[in-house]
Amino acid sequence: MNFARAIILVPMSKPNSISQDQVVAAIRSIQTKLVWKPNSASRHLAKRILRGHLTDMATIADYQQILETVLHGDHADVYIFWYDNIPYVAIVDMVHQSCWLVMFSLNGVLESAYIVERPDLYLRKEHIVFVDSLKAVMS
Amino acid sequence: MMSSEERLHAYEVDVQFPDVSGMEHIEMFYNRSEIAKIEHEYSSEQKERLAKADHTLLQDAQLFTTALQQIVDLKRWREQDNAPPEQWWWYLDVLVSAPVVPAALPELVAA
Repeated sequence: MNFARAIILVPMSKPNSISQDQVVAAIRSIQTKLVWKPNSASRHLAKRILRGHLTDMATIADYQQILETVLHGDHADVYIFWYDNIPYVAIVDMVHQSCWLVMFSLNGVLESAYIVERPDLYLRKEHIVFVDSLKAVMS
Repeated sequence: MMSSEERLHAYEVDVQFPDVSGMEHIEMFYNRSEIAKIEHEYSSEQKERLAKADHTLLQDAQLFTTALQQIVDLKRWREQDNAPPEQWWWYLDVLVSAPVVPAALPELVAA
């Protein structure tokens, strides 16, 4: 399914909206370079290791390799999270039989990247808008 | 699907990281709600670990709430999920702003 470039994503009860072009630009940005919030990467990595989502010896490169897989996933889906009228892009895909969610701001800075145990429960909220498959959004 | 022990371990880890994204704390709350369904089956040792993790969450409630408020409308999440008051973790922002520790949590305060 191809999107019209001017499509507006409007969540219920939200005055703001974003364009398809903004979503595509944010995804392209983070696909090109993973940018973490200052000093946050090591904390996220430590948590993923302790949770057993990564091996004890995993490095930030190993973590980021999974994120790259999600961000280019053939079967990945794109969502928009709204908070306080600010949109965040989330890309969700299965990696090694786990559902990974990679969330980032419109300017391409990672908010978080983690495993969601029950995506159906987690993602079906009125302030979370399913956009389309990553392939469709980026085509 | 995580085992009951895996759920407990996940919760024990999660409460150590108040400074990661508030979005992850929502995932932690969902896990804590799942634990609530099975905690009566836990051994004494597991119940003690759970109480300790709960205590850590409460002790650092302000830090968790700060992270949540940067990206999550917790009130909206709990309303959409109809989170009951006994699942106090969904009301962490309320607990933080309360002038006194709720009487429903005495064992945690004593822990």
